[in-house]
Amino acid sequence: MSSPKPPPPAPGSLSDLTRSILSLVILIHFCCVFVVLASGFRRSPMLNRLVGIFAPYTQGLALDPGTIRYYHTLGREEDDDAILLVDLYPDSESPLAGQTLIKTVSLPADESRWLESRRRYLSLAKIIQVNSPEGGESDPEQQDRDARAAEVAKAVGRGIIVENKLESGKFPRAVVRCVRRMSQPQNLTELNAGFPPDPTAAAYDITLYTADVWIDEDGQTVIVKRAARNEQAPLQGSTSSS
Amino acid sequence: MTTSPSAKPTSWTDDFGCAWNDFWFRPCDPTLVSVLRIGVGLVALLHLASYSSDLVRLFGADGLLPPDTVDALLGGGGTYHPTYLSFANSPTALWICHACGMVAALALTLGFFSRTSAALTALATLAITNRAPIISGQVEPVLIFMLLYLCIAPAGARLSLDAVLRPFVPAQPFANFAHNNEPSVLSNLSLRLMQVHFAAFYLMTALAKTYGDAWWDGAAVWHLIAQTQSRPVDLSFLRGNEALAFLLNAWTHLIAWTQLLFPFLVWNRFTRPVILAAAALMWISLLPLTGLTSFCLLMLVGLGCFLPAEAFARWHTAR
Repeated sequence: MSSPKPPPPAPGSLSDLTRSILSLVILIHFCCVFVVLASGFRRSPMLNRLVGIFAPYTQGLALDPGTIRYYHTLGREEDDDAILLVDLYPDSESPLAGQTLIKTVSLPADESRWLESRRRYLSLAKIIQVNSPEGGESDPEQQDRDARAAEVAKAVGRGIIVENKLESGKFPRAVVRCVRRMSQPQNLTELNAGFPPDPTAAAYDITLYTADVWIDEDGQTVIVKRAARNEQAPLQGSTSSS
Repeated sequence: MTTSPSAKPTSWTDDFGCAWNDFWFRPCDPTLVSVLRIGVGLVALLHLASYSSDLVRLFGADGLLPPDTVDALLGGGGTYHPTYLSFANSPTALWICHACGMVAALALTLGFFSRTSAALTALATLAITNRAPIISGQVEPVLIFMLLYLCIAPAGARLSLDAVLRPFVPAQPFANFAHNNEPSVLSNLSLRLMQVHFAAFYLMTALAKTYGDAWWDGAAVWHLIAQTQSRPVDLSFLRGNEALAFLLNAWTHLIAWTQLLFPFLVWNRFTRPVILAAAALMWISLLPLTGLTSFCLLMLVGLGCFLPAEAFARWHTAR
């Protein structure tokens, strides 16, 4: 006795086997996607492990949003805008004392506020902003955060130095600053003393991070982070790269 | 899961199988994916073009983000961000790669070799995203999954150069011209993948907002307005009085609640029009707050995948 024959597939439809394979692929794909989306903001150890397992697929195809700030703001200090300012001085081999500022490069500068290019520079500054000192020397994660901030400052400093090579063929010396601009309260009557109504006034700018960057005679980039109260001290010994 | 769509259900497993097959594998008209192709292509073109002014400054050998720096910031070798741009050190090589990506995005928008151009645009977008994931914005993860799903669909079947050239070009070996006008399983599959991915994505964006106070106490929109470096428009006059303060609160709640409710309400045919309208309003309103033009435009385009494909088919037939 034979079982009834299944009806033929409609034109344009897929065979049972193809549908089964595609169903399996869809399930696996969305399993990976849901895990990385569910761990976009904070990750439990389990999710962290799963994200690591799926990473070749999800990171390779940029499906993992990682630390991208889809919340836009949470009203914290670190959600305030920050920019990078690079001061250039003529002599890379001498201390800054007595040198005249050539110019200050702002990142971002005057890019359109409607385009992504401006936001990319704000993202660069944000890396330094969120890694700038908070916990002091007692914070066990501070060294790692310092290293991340220094990595960005060094790369930005070197890039701007090379971009502004002097006519004499020498490289200038740079001071990289990350400046956070505090946001105003919604109610202006809550403004603290010394803060004018103009939200772009200098009083709202706080320098979070400052580092001296120069290219030495061997072509290596040297960065020395400035400590609080303008004391200069190497972070972990000066770092260098070609 | 292998039950034929036309088989009579006999148990809950058969019911589930039929529903699964109907959801993923029911053929649908390719007009909607063709419209989405144009929207996604335009956003991809805008996104890639936004790199043009800073391409060498960011990614050149002496640029602000050399590969070593990016690797160090990503934590060394524990991440997977393959990109051919790491090997393009000279300005000329960078520009050639970038120009090829933009040509691919233009071809996708025009519907020329649509599947191939979708794949090449996805590759170019991935390359530039993976070159410096540390400065990736909100748009990249969405743009890439939209492009990947468009690679599956016959997105050049309608409103495309492929469709115009189809009568003049033999179907083989130019497979991209072979899209016909019949309903396609791959059209539906592509749309469903986008829909499910978007639903999960909305949930993720909403859950991320629940962590802080600003989206609960109604202050988040003000915090965005108060950012003088990133805001594209100065809306600070909206803090004038109590009524305007309530407006800012309502605006905040609209954004948060729309994103939270979207993944649940978008599947019901009665609530779908309401939540789609709310989401469209939300993305338009986020644009002057954040300046995330590509992202907001892409999310608006993405809402299109929830529109009825039949209506687009009727519209195309009536043309």
